[in-house]
Amino acid sequence: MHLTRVGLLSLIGTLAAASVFAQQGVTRNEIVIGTAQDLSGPIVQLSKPAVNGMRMRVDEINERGGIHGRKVKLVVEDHGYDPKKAVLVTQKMIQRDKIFAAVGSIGTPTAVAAMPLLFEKNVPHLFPLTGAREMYEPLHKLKYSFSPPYFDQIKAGLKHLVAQKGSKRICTIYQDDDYGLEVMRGGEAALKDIGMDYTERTTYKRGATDFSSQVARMKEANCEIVVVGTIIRETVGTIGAARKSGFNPDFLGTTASYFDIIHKLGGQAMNGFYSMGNINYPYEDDPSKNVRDWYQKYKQVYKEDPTIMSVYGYQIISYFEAGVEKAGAKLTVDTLIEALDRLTIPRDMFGADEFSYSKTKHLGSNRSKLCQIQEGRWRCITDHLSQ
Amino acid sequence: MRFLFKTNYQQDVRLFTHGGQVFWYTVLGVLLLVAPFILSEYVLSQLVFVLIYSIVGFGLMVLTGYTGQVSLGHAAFLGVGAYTEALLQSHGVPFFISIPCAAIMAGGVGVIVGLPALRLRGLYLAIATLAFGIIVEEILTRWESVTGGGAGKHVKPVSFFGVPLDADETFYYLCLFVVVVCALGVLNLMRSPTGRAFIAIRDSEVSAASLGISLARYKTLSFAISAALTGLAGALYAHKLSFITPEQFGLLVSIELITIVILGGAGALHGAVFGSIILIVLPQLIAIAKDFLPEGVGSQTGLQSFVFGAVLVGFILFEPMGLYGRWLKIRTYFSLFPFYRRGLFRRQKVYMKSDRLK
Repeated sequence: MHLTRVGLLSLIGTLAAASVFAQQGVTRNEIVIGTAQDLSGPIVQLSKPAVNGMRMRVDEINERGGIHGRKVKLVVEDHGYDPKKAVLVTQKMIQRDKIFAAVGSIGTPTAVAAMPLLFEKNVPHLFPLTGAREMYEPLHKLKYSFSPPYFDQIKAGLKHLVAQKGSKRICTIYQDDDYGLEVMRGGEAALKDIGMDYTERTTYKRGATDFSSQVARMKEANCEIVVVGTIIRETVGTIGAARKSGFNPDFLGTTASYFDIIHKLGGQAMNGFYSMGNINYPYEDDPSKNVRDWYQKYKQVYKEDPTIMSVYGYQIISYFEAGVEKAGAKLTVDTLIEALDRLTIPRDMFGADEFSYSKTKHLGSNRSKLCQIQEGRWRCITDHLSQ
Repeated sequence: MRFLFKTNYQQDVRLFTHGGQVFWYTVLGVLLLVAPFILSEYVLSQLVFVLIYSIVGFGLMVLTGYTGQVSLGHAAFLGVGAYTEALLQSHGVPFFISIPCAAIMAGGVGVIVGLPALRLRGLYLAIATLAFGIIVEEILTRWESVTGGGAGKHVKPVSFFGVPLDADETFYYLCLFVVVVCALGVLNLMRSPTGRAFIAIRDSEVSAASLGISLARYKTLSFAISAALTGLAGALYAHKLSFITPEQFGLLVSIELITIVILGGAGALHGAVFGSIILIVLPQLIAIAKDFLPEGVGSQTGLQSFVFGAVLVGFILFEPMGLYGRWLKIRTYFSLFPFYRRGLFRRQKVYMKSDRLK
């Protein structure tokens, strides 16, 4: 009896000690990470290539033998862009899969709903696929951002474009939600800096398909530049309607409209459209051989052409890899954070800006470049713009 | 098989008809009370969602299952409850006042929707409630000074005189308490004259009116009660999610809520609970099953919606009485064995013809 009690106590003692030293999601030869994606909701066409890109990089890491001898296991969950499901799948990943970190999750409302759960269990939320400012503000030791914020993108881009073209009449059309407002406010901040204001502001509700009245109002106001807080279909719809009515201002969007589907859907009419981009758009005949090889490899594995989302997914895992590499052989959340806070990632083959993080700065870079559709494909016409 | 000999009129209105029921509900009660000690946090969290959706299910059961009125705008009541709770909480109102306020607010909105419902029936009512749902979502988006607009609103955990009850277990007990109170309330309602009037309206409006039941009054009341219950659930939902945006209360959610009643089985409170269990647990089961499926199938996009849709269609085709209806049939099959007949549960509704005269 006495013996068993001693045995039990020592067992409890060992378990307690083990739980102090062991890091959730990290074993001697494996790191488990999770990502919450939309595989059944409205943005599935963005999530799918992003997941493929992530898997591609994970496979590359594992073929090489892992990071410090640990292979990476990627758990992908579907939240269908619904915050309630995001809460549930996040709990599943934390408690069933015991993930070490959530990496590259998509969507703003879903990420905001999931973050408190992650932080409560000391799980970092790294490099989410959204340009909302909540991803690094307010500063929290467990959150690190990936995409330059929409606000900063449009602020830098609009200032550059106005200075270059000497335009006087700036207008905007934006989606009536948090995304559209961020874009509109970014433009507003840019104009305020140079002592101007919007000549005309128009809005539409998410899911709208007809933009003729907004276009007519902006035409009436003789706009020279139109800031568009639109995503894909609305961008094509707005520009198409404008061209049809003989109204040809410069249109400027964010990374949310920096997709090849814009010129594939809209055709000729989309030529001349400006968007802010954080990398060069990947095409099969990219001037860089590395990108061409990457493109072919992706195409071989997934039997389809990569999109820019595939590149984002690939980069996100690469950045995570860089952090883990730097954290050294003893991998815990604390060592990872310490490594990330000293991390600088140089410009890569895709043309991304240099990313650097510190204890007080969890946004890698807030700079983006001005790109334009020319002859049916995206071309970046500036380097990364500072504010 | 059990024979019930009724010797007293009270037996018709008792909550439990026989000792077996008392026993099984006690077992269920005890299991629910000890659940936080035996279940993992992940399962407990799902259980909390099941409880919250059960309350919505009760609300819809009163309206659709008992009174026979359709609503495609119930997410709006959920939203009104959630935003009322968030607002009151941010002004420092304690939860035992703010949660009932959320219910009252949603109930008040329910009365407003109930007014056109007096003049509309069937499909037209469905369209009116659909429009209502869209209007409320729009108001939540536009009224930025109050709701925070599309950027959403954060909700803090429930706190009791300044002490936050943020542990999952405490919140679970709060939800369980509310569910039990609501279930007893609805059961009580349904054995009162008001409840009988609801059922009469569902079965035939003409006969109900000729029995002296004021259609206008009872339909409005039904909407109000249903909305209040949904609002109550909305307040708990806001705390559980801790972050609400208008898009969480859109049309798709309304349809999701209707599926609770369809999957569970209209016409009995058990159906509401069964329906919520399917609604919450099925997607999770699919997520877990995905890990065991071959890579090509498991990573397929839209897998979840496909399985969910297939289950829903299957129920409508093969078991319109829902999961609870199926359970009743199985139970009757065994208790009557070998005398069970296929047509035993067929609904006989010859008096419906009189409604066509209208």
